[in-house]
Amino acid sequence: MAASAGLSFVNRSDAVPIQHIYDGGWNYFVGGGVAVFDCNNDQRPEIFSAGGENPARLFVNSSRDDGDIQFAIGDFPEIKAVTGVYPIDIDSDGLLDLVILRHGENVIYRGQKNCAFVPAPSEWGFDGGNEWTTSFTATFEPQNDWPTLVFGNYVDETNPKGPFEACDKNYLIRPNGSAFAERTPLEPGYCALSMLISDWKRNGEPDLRISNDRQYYVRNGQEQMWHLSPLQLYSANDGWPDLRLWGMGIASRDITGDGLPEVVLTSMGDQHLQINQGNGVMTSAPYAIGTYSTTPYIGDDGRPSTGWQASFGDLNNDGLDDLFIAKGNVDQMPSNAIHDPNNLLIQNVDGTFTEMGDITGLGTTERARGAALVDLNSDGLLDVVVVNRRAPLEVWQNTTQTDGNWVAIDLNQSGPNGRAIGAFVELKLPNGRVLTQENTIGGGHASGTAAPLHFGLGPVDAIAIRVIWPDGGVSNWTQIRTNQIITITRDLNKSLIVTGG
Amino acid sequence: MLRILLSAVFIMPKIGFAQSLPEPLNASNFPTANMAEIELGQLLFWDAELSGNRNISCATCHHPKFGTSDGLSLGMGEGGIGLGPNRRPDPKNHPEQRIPRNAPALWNVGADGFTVLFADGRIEVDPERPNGFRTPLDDEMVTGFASLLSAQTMFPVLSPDEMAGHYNENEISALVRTGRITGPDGAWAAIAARISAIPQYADSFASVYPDIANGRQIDFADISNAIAAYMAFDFRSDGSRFDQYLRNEIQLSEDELSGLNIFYGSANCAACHSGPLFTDMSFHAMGDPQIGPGKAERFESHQRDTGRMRVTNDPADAFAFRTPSLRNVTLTAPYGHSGAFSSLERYLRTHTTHGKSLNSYQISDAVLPAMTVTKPDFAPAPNAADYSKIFNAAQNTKIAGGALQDDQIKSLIAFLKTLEDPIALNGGRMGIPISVPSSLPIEQ
Repeated sequence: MAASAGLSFVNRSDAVPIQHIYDGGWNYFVGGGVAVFDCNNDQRPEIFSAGGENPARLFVNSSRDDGDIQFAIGDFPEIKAVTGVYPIDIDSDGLLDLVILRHGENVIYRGQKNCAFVPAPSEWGFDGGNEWTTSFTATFEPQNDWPTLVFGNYVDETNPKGPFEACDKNYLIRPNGSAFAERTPLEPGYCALSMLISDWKRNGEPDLRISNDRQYYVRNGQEQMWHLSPLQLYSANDGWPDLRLWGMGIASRDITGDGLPEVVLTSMGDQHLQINQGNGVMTSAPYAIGTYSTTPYIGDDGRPSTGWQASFGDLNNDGLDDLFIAKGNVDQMPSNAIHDPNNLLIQNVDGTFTEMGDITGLGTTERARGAALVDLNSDGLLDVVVVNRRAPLEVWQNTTQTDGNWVAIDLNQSGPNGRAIGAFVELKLPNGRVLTQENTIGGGHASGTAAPLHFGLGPVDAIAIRVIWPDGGVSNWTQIRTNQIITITRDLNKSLIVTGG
Repeated sequence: MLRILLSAVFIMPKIGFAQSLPEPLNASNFPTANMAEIELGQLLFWDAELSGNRNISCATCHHPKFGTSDGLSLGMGEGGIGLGPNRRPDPKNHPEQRIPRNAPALWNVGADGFTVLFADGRIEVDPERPNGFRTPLDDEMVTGFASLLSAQTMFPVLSPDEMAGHYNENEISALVRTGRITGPDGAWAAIAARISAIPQYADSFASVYPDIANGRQIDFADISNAIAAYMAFDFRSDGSRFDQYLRNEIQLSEDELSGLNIFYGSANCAACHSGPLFTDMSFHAMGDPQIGPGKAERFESHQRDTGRMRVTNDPADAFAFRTPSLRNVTLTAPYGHSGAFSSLERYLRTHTTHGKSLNSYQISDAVLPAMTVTKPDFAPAPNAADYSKIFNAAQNTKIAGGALQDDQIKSLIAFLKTLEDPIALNGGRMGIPISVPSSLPIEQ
């Protein structure tokens, strides 16, 4: 069966009640993030999109089950200068909060019931700084009830020698009880456009990956990885390579089936898929894998592409993860394609990827930035949200005709880190194949989702799940039924409580 | 009598000639001259004020001493000092790389038929586009430019390696690298602001363009319009012996006529080098050697120059380049899109072989002043210039081809020399200005 069989999307951008555009001057050439998350507990995720010089917007999902996607305008205090946004339940009250990245002071809005949001109380002690923030990631470290937040900054505009070779520091913020401690600078900074804390070596010690933009660090800089505890930058002695990219976004997912997450690092020209070989070694995927997507695949412009958000997800539920890459010219860079189509790269059974952005219509050529692959109408198919610079937000309803099964999994544990950030979910198929997803906060391009982990399964309908919880505790294998959204709750012993459906 | 006979034959190509002779070029093929605008354009053309670091003017790489080119295979733009083959890196501001393509001669670029500019045609007349042109900015392109040539003139100033400079070196290079080109905060406005700040220019623009006299600010399109007017006038070349021959004013020598017969006959050069401009304004993969850094951005590791394909995204256009005009070709060495050959004779020896001479190419045939380069000048491997793909592309080119014999090449060169124009030999109509309003030094 061809990868394209049945694949289809309907443009439902008009399901958003007003045109929402990420816009503004040079400070908003980057950024343009979107958060997709449920803030009214109806399992239909909302959209919160950065607006740059326009106000950020909350759109509340009013889709009916298995119906067409629909959104209503949500109430949110007017906030401008927003570059990106990530949902996270900071105080483990079961309600998602929003970490809002800005050109200027970052802010946290605390989630209330029914999608109401209020500024985080001052007792939280959050120092939002005053930098030009363009990336974020978070984790819950052992012994802490509250998360550790990391903010990645772009150009230091106070540096009179800038904007080039003038990248700002990044900051890490650890909790201090039920509040945040002072900021810890992470130096050197190389103009971070994406960060992701991930246990990429599966050794129980998550590290902080930072993808940096050579457009601004120019010479002295590279992709970075930090040990979190103690805070220490990976060096050549750790085998860390001197990789220099026009890094814009990180996607992470095990696509080789060995349980180790691969990463896609977006850039200008080649989009870099790195295969996790284990033991801390990542190698470039062969060019023939089909994800480099160096130049536009439609249109009459042969200049190199500019990649931003990258996201993995199984868009046709065939059991193989696919890859979406948001593309678009920075603004008016003559070196790069002006009309640069987004990539929808569908994985084939042999592990290669085939471009389907043209057939499905997803290959729009606006200046795309952030994006999300989330099931917006609870039909088991991942839909697509794309934020564009200088053009309206796009919503694409996945209408793929497929017999493929799926399951979507929310994690829950009592106490702090209730959403079990840092957990690995493994699904075992009857043929022994194991699908693995890590539950993370970060990556992409200024965009975060807090939605059930979606697994496409193909024809398989008998699966077992186990969870490696953030503290390393491993559950027993538990049979679950497919084609439903379920919540997996950690039990005192190694068993799992399955609810929902 | 012989001339008349041949002319008659050429009008009827079926009698043995593949292509008919063109009409002669004349003044009606060129825009009407406005001398005040042309004189303003001349000053701008020769003024390094247009470059980010105020160290290079249009004339640096398009100099009348070198046939309105620079005498180099690949130019040394921003960061070079000196002229022509004497150009060398400024030790205090070493160029990052060579310019990836040979600097094109400017003869007749203002003529009506010059509808495709740059070797890849990234600026061209394109009636299917809303504004009637293709440019690298596509629908972001500003308005106000008077001609295709004016639109073309707007782009070398944006190239960090050609004129703008790099990174934080100046306000223009910073704007370009941040991706800000149009609008009041863009690179073009920054250059226009520099020009506007020089009183002599402000006065000249006001006297040439009435709406500027009435208070409109000087836009970069005004600057490029004036430069285009200058180039169209100064580098008009329609007084060659060949034009005189076409006008039945002179006779050509036996050797020249022999070359003419090869050009329009057996070798069928005129299949592409057609019309009075000696170009079909179209693109052909001729299998010429590629040298230098290639058309690759800093984030690309290869050294390919896929030519037209990088513009159109059409694999059928791979390694195809626009047919260059041959007017004054004997004055515009080196030859080929990357200037791989300093000698016209050696170039012609390979040009018709559909890439079969690629393997024997020697970089010593090029004119490349010494400089530190991050990518080697000669790199035929697949991950670099990729000669195998250049060869493959040339196999699909439907040109009669076949290697030329020594006597044919000698005759062809004799014929091509008839395309020299006394005005071109003299370096254009207007010569080199004594000074420019910025008071910056002039490339003499």
